[in-house]
Amino acid sequence: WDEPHPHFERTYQVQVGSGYAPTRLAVTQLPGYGASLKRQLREINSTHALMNMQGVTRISPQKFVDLDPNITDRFGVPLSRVHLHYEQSDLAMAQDCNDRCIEIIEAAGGKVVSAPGRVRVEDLVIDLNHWVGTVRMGDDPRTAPLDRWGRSHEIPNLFVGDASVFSDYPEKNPTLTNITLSWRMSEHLAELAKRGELS
Amino acid sequence: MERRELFKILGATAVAAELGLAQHLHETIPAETYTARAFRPEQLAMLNQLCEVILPSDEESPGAGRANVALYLDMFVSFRGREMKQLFEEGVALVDSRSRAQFQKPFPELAASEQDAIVAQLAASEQNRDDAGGRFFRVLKIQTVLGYHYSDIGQRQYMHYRGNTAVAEFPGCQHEGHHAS
Repeated sequence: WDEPHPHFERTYQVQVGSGYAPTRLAVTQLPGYGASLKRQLREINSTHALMNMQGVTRISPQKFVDLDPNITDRFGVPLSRVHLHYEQSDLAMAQDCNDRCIEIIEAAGGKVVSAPGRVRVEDLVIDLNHWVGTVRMGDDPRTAPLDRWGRSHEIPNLFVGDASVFSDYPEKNPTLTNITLSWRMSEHLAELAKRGELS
Repeated sequence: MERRELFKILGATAVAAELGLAQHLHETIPAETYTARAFRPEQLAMLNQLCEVILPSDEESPGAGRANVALYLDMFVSFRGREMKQLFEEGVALVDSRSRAQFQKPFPELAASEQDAIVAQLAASEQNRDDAGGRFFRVLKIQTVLGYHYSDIGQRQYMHYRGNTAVAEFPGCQHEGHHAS
């Protein structure tokens, strides 16, 4: 935990869950279709318990947002494009999680029904529940549009106070950090206003 | 769209766990009143037939076509956007063209063995990401299985789901051979 891993940067966490339908992974690992597929689904008992990961992706120039040159919304404003290219570090992290989770399940006396095995880029998915980033904060105006207080480097009276200021995708659910950052920014704003530094 | 409206529509046939809404479903409306968002009626008809080949009816429970999983696919695709819609439209068109080329009829009019032959070709490329039919089949299969499990038929007749029940004590799994010591 407190020492860097030799094969990947940053950290991940594991969540345990269950459900009454099979996982997508289990379905893709059952071959074929028809009566045999239905029987196999029955045999693995469809309902599932699972372990899945949430990991910090490596911050890099390969992950960025820009404006689509071709597609606009109904007001003619270009739509944003998210460029999320997973890198070796991200894959190594997911592989480590895969291997540790199998160890944990087997040590607890469980049987692994389906696992990614060798993790590929296609196995990684964007966390659809937690939207963070795209207007990140940072000291360097060349790599971050906002400063450490959520204030635009370019436009002094523009502050951003939601999860879009995150500089990376965290391995934790982001709400508490989001509230904390907004609170911190609000106090800073109030302080600036008291000193008459907002126009 | 109002959340409440969405719940009602999802209740038409199947629930979208992909949308994280499965546990919120309380109401159902008849499938006849569902308005398709992504597909034309003939596409929905073909998708239901494909669903039925993927998870067929048997003595135990009706299959995914009879569970109207195509309506779940319609909901799924309409929420997943442009690329997913394109994948399905091209997949449906591919099935149609192969049916006409090999059996001189559209897919819905084929005999069961002929439909099976078409699906077998798609399934053979299931793991091949360079094959358009394989890419379509992979997604179709996953979503057919999930949609079936979320459908009324899938839940009650296939899964024997009886709803959550409060129990005074937990006896463990009662299936033969599963009982934990």
